[in-house]
Amino acid sequence: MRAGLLSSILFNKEPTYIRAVDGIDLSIQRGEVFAIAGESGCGKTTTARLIMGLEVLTDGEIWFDGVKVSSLSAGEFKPYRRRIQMIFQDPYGSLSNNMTIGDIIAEPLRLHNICSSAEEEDELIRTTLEDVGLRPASDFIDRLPHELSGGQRQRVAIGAALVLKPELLIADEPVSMLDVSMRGQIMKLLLELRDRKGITILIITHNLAVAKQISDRIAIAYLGRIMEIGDTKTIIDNPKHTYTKALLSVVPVPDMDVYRERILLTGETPNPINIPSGCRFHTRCPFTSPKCSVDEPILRELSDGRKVACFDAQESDN
Amino acid sequence: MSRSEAEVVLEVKDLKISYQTKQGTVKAAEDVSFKIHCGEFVGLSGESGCGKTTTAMAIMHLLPKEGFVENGKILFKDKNILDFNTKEVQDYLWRDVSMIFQGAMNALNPVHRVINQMTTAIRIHENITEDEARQRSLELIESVGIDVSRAGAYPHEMSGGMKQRLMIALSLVCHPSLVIADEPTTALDVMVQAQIMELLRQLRHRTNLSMLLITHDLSVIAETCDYAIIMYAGRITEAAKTEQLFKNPRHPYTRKLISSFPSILSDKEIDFIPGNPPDLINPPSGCRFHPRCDHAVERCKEEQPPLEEEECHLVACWRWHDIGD
Repeated sequence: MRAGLLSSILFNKEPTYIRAVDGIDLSIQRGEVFAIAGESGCGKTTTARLIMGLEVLTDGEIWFDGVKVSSLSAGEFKPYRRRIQMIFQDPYGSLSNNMTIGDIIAEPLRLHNICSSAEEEDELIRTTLEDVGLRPASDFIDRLPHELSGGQRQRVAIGAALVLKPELLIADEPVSMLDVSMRGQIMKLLLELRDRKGITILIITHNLAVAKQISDRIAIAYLGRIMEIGDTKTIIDNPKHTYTKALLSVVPVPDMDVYRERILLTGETPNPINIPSGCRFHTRCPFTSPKCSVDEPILRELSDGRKVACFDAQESDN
Repeated sequence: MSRSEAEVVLEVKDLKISYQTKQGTVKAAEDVSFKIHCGEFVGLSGESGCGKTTTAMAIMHLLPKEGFVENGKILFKDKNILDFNTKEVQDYLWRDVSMIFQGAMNALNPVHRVINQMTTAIRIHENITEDEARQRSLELIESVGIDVSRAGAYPHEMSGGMKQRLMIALSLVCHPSLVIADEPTTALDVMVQAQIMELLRQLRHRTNLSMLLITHDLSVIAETCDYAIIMYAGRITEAAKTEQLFKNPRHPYTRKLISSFPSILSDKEIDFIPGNPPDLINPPSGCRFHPRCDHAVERCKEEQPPLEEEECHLVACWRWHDIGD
């Protein structure tokens, strides 16, 4: 049985509206790896922070495991903090330099009063370190973060997130700051955790190649809304929204035997203070028609199951 | 014209650079030798601690005080820049060789208009009038794709992409022969990165500018460079024309690196190199890559393989002939 975890988020800020997340609807299925991808200003990080309860909603709802968590008080929300954990981009900034690896892993346990004895805590620390591939655990427990490589530090961050046995792990650009040859180690670890422990993973990334390798489904975001959402392979191999097509046509690939027609958009993403009328992408879209500057297309499902917010894509789907 | 026939702008010979730290001497670069020809874009790639930035800093005479050149030469048009006195360094920097630093968009002075920053840079190096400097600056601003009406803007009024274009323009103000670009597209959005790469491609095709492009991102090298050099743990492991390197990677590290790069165009399995980056204070014996190499044998642990050339393709590996596809 699959349980839907999240839906509908809308966010506005007074007095000048910066619509960081402007009408995002999504549901994440238990046990899936879901990617939110896009460039800066698309709302992907704000969405993650809203789910974590680190930002306040202006409008909309967030449901977690059948409960409307967006309307809970801070005290009522606390137990959910155990069930949703987050890891961040910077393995050099996210671990406290004054704490040993053992203490970093133990900190969440202590904050939530999980263990009833020191032995129980030590055992949990040990198994967690081994779960994230830091073996033997005894080699790492007393070390300090600066003694570890970026990849090892990211494993520690994942361990600290896992020790509370969360159901949802949000990973914000988990491998962007790691050496390329190490990224696969962390990606494989995340997938193993999903396979072995059934953890649901929400990955935030600007890197579409990483999203392709690791995610089951993907949402492509632009200026606070989703342009295209669905099965990752379907969308990346055959994008239907012009923005997705443009991005994929210019992402560099480590292969010289390839010819692609580049859709090089001009300019940059507009400031979220001034979101264009109609379809917010129309100002940069090479295939726009008069309708696009007036009406905003909503996400509609195509015959292959994905959803696209584009009049042209919807009309061409026959 | 074959690579060896074109004029050499920069030659690095047997460069050895170390850093003195409290923990010991860091062997940051060793036996680094390569040439950059007129009009050529050379990519220098590798991961943390490989020595690429150290090499670039040495070429720019910008090694920190803990860094020292133990051996080797850096020849700019046959003159060893390491022997330069202060005046010669001042003439060299920005006029002969300039640099685009990582995160350069944050290097602009926030209280000056961008056009003025450019004219100041020109007039430090050249004895021309303010008007001439202004004219040249406007032309350059336009050539990098910025509308001249924005020339009077302050840095905070410009987007990340525009600032990066400006840094490229700034690096070209004195018409240098060589520009060193250190991660010029990292930290930029996908589409902006593509725009900057397109700009670099245009520079490559329309001018005889030479560039040393330093990046960890092999796909950027694939799309912008003529020649590629891969470094690991302070040493060059492989070097060849970009097309050759990607079609026929010879060194196990290069092969694993390419394989570790996901691509939107293929259904690659996740791959990685096990282990961690090497300790440069006490690097592994023999071939520095051997602890992480699938093909390492006894000899690899004992003897460091020299960089050997075969059909214009250089590799430092005892076993590359044995390793099949």
